[in-house]
Amino acid sequence: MKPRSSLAARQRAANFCFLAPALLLFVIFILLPFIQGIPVSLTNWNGVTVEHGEFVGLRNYVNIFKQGDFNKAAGVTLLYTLITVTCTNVLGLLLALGVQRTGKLNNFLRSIYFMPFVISLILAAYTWRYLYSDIVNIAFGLHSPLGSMRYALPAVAGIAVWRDAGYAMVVYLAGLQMVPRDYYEAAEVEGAGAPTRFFKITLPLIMPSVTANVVLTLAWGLKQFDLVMAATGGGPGKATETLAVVIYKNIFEFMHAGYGQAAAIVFTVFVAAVSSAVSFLLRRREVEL
Amino acid sequence: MEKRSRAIYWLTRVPLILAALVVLLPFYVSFVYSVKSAKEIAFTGMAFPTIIHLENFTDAMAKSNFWLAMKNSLLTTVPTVLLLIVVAPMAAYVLGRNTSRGYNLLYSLFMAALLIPFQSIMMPLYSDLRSLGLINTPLGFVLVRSAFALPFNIMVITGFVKNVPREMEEAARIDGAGAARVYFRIVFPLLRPVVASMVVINALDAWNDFQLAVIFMMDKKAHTLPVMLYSFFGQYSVELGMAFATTTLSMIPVLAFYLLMQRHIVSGVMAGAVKG
Amino acid sequence: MNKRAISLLIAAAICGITVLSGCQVTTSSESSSEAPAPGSAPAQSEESEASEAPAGDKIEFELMHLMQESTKRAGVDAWCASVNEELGGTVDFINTSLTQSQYNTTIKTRLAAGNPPQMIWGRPGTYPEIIAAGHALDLSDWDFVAKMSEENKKAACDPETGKVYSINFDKLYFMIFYNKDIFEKEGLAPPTSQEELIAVCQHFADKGQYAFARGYQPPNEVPLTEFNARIRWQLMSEDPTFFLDVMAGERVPSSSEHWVSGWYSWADVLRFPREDDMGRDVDKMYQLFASGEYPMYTSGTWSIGEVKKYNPDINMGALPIFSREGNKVCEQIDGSMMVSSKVAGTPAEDVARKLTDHIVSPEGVREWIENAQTVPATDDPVAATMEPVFADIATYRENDQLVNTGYISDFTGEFWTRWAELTTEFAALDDYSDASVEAFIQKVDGEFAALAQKNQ
Repeated sequence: MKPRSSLAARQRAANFCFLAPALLLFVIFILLPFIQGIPVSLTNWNGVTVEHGEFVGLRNYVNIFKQGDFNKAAGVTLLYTLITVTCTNVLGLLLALGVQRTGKLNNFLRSIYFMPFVISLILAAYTWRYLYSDIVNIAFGLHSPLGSMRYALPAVAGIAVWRDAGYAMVVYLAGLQMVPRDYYEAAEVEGAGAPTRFFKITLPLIMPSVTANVVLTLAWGLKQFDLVMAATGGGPGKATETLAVVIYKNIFEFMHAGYGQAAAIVFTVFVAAVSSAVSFLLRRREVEL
Repeated sequence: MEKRSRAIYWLTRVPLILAALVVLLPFYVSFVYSVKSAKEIAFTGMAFPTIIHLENFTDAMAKSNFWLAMKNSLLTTVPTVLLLIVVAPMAAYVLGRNTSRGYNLLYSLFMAALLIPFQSIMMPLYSDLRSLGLINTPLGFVLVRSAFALPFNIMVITGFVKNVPREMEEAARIDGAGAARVYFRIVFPLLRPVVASMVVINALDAWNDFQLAVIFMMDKKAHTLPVMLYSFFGQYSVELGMAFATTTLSMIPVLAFYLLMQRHIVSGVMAGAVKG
Repeated sequence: MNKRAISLLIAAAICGITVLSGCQVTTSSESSSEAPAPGSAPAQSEESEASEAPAGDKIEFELMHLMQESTKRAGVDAWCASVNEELGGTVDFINTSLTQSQYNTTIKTRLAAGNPPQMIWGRPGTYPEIIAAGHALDLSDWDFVAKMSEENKKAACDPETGKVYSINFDKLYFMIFYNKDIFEKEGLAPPTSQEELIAVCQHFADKGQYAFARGYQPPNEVPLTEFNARIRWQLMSEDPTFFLDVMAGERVPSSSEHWVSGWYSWADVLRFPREDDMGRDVDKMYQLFASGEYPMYTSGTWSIGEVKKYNPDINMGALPIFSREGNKVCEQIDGSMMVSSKVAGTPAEDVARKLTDHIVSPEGVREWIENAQTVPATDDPVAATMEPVFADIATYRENDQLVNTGYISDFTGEFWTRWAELTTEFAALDDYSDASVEAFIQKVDGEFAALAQKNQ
């Protein structure tokens, strides 16, 4: 039954009213500043002078690729993201599998695993700094990894995993609950072992959770700023300097506001591209229930 | 057979319990440093405290504007959460029900915003807020924080909306109910689980937010808890005892809130995130 | 359902307050206003929340700086309180202390938006771009300038125009601090040269102990300080344009023998067995020294208050940071603040003038010494009596070992950051053989050359 045109018009008006507040917030506080930043990226402004520098066209963008200032940071960011995305999701899934059954102990454990997510990144960074330098040192006689050029990045990634695994676990718990029990029973009757059951039944059916988690942790990883700044400031050397950190330094410490802004825009595109690609690949593997 | 599988089950609990201990370790660090005096920290480091010093707590509360920061955190978090409860589900409902090209484009736009790094809009945003007179005001923070939280909220809630059957809405519309009535009376109550979990996530994000607060609430009088906390960790000097006492104090409301709202997180987040 | 009603009411009240907060667009301040108070209490910077006259009656005056130590903050508060008393309580002083990176962000953002704090940390040598952009007020004809010593004034001037842009109120000395009790117990005399320092390090190494407590974990600039102190006084006297020349790409750093010798001098002490230096932060270094188990640590006079916080009874003395080239002590202006050019012609300018006058006055100096426990820029003899370390410094002054290294133009921007990173990398090396150090010096040359080229 087709709606009459005035009904359709009213529906559209209603839709618009519903969307309006969100759109308004979004446009004023996110879209507009982003667009305002574009002209700045076409100048050589140093961030301090009152007039916003002279127009230099696309030179900043060219320099980003020609000078390769951001190459190391890109590598650091990708490595960091790789570690956090895999570890967070693998651990999250393992934890979810471990505590999925109801029971007092499981409930208790679930709460504990999620607790770190509740703490701000700054607090997490500082407590882990002291943990690394005091407890790790005393208990294992090892040097704090945050001071080593080689181990600082995994150490910082470890903090992020500590924090996010609980969140991933929660999402996986939901996904696991949606898998019908009969599938497992049928498989057991046919003699399938636990690994087979996992890979042929569980994994395909929880793909939507996997997609959601991977895309989210991917975005968090690529944009990581707070944790790195608080834990090591990007050091030692440039060992933990992610793209967000180096862009920030360019704008605020190196007096290259125009250049940094251009880098920020390229960075946004880069993050969008990677996230979309991963999301697309994962969606294709989802199985409809 | 029964006995064996039970034994295996309990065996699998062991690594899980160890994992829980590792997870709790940083909280232990925070606790230890918050009950030791400066001298004890220098001489005994991380060892379990022999005497509990509560001065760190009393000092922290007296000297550091703790209550003011707490008040500011409340003034910024509660309205943010409430604003998002109203604004996000409405938009998500429309985006979830309509899949024509225009709406899809709009949805993608929101999703794209998830990926904008804060650094790229920091300075223009500051200038804009300044011309609106919203710097150092809770209102300014609430608006910006809500805008930033919209993409994630919309993503999760839209996913949930797609799983809500249309029959009830269509029945109501046939009966002549207007769009507003359909939404508020029928759809919104059905969205309660996911909205509840978003409330928790939004509250946590706003309470713990640092990046926005440190730029837009720089004034001492406007400090929220995370910013105040950060000021203890100076570059050349750290007030360890006070810093961790304040850390512990700021963790308490958050943990309490979390423990109260736990079940909503588990039930809600997933339902939306799964199909998002 | 009663609980629900109550929580709804509370939520509504909170929202109401929030919305109202945004509607108060006041002229002179941007903070949320409080209920007007009958009289105006003298504003103690941190605790001045409660009673405040409605915006417009009080002059808002914010000082934004890097002095996070509670001792120094107390000093600034004392000054503000005195000036406020003088002005009849009409000023609302705000004392904001930040870390270096927070400061960088905040100051840029606020300058760009046109509402900077009234007084800004820094001096021409460290923030030339702020001066160049016209954000700092020319203070050349202000009263306090007449009371500044020549060297003090030099550090406050823009080298090109000779105009005064900052008030300098605090000095720092880069030093090796040592635990006198430990030295006495070991029967060691405090070293007076690089060779003697190496011998002391060897003494402790032979016993299986660590001579230095170190805290090199980033983000901090302790490694930078260690290296800087070993080259600074030489560059100051013989090669003052060194940093500027390197930034302009006219020279590579290793063209200076002092630069090269600095790395070797530092390597001399880094060579001995080391602990988890890279994993400890600066505060840990203070704790370790304060615990009485380490003979020495390298830092500056700003750290004395911090160490004393952990152990007020520690018996410590100060030594120059030796290098292969000598035993001079680098003395520098530390605390310095500029005045924002936006202040000119407003009531805040009057406040600024009174404040700067007060800082250089005898009462102001006394307030600083009592609270901050560092040496004021005026070399007040009283300071020497307040702290044994300052007595040591007075001795060095008598022996003509002090070199004022404050007004050399340093690396800025990316060069400074890279320098800090490179010194940290040097501190993390496994091997301090001559070959290794030489290779590192070459690497640094390459890096700075590339940076200079990029900025052409």
